[in-house]
Amino acid sequence: MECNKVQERLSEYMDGLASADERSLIEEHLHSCHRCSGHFADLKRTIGHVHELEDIEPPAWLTQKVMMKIKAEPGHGKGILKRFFYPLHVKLPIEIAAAVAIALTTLYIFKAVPPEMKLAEAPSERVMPAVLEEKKQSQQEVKGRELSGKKPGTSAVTEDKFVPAEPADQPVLKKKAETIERYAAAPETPAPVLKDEKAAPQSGRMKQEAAPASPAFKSFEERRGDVVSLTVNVRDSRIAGKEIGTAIVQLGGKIIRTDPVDGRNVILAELYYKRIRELSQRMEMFGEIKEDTAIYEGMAGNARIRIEVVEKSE
Amino acid sequence: MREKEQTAAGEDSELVLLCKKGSQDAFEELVKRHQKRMLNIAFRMVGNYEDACEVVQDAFVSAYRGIREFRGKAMFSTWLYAIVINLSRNRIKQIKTRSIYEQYSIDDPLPSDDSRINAEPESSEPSILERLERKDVQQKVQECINSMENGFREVIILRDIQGFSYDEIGDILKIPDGTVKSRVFRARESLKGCLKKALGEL
Repeated sequence: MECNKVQERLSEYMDGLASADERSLIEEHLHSCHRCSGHFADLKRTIGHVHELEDIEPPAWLTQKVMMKIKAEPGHGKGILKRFFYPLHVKLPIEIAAAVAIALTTLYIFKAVPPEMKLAEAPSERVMPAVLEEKKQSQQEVKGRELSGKKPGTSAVTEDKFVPAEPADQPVLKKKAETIERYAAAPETPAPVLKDEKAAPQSGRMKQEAAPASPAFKSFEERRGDVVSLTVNVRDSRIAGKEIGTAIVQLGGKIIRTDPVDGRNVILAELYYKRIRELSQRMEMFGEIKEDTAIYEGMAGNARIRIEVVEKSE
Repeated sequence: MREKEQTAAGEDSELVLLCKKGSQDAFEELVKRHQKRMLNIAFRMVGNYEDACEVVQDAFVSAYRGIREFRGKAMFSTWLYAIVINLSRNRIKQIKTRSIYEQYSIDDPLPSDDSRINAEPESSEPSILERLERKDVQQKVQECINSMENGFREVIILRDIQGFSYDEIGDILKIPDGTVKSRVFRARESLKGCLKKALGEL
């Protein structure tokens, strides 16, 4: 082997990368060649110096500092975020749709919950100031009706509409009063009142009538404590009790308590006042109804009813 | 050293998997495992302790950011050391720019860096003179390394200081085997020449 070639191979030879044949050739050459062996020696010493470079130790704080920087990385947050939204073009629309669906559901529930909302929308008449005065009158009239003990079925309400505070012979005005009554006298439903579009133009008037409306408030609140009491004479109190209970639930009411006792059943329930009419109509199907308190009092929202189911002793 | 690397590599891959899932503890373990080697590579590349420590930190952060995309095909350490070499290169450029502004020539002898003195571990017993001499030689060697071209510097560090195999060097630097060999050869020749001048004799 020639010197040039040998010198070229010395590096690899030193690293043990020369083939067996090459090795022997190189060694042979080195044996006899001064220059090349000098070269080789220089090479070894150079690398020897390099090998003597001492390792340095990392500072004790290095790991901590690195971890601090890592914890400060937004990387992890991004990862989670990425997992929720990636692939962007697929997941993002899904998530937007889900958010919208939830929002709509919430809105629906909110709208569905206060029953007054529905009724408030049904009669679309506008309130007239005169009606409020009539309402005051009607309150007195209602009391009169209480004493007269009329059956609810015979009231002069036109259709099934339930009139709280107007005398029977003024159905139209009654409806309006109904509306006012509800607006003015519904402390638990200020929100739907505000939200009802039809109520909006009336709100101004309501404010005017705030003063006269307050007695209505008072009486309503008083009456709110009242319970509509009904007695039904039936053949079988148990069966009738069940039927009545079912009817109440079907009409959207809520049974608070039942006290079935031999031959009697007392049902305490909550029912939207408008439905009481219907309920009593149903109850007429299996018994005679005696109205202990007038249903036509100035009630709005849910009324409490107490139904005493008594077995007729025939 | 190669054997140690292989077993370490196996354990690395488990840690890497955990890191991919987000375990910071696993990453911390990797940091502890590799920081010394990384620091030594960086130190020999950039020539001073402070810059080297910063480079290592940056390298780990960079690795952390990229670990999700890291494919287990290559060895984790290979990938990691490639990062530190790249960042070291960048840092070298910065230092050069810095030195221009500071009117400091890279060929000047290295300033007596206290941290370097502290960083070098106590060797067993030698007299002060010997230590100074040795330090002197080491300093000169480092200076020679610093003065080498980037490509040469890297292979000297990886081959003769860190002891990586030619294959590993090829993986780290992403150069073919033939290039590794020729570079190592030429780098050593270059270093030899520089050292001869610096030390007078080898």
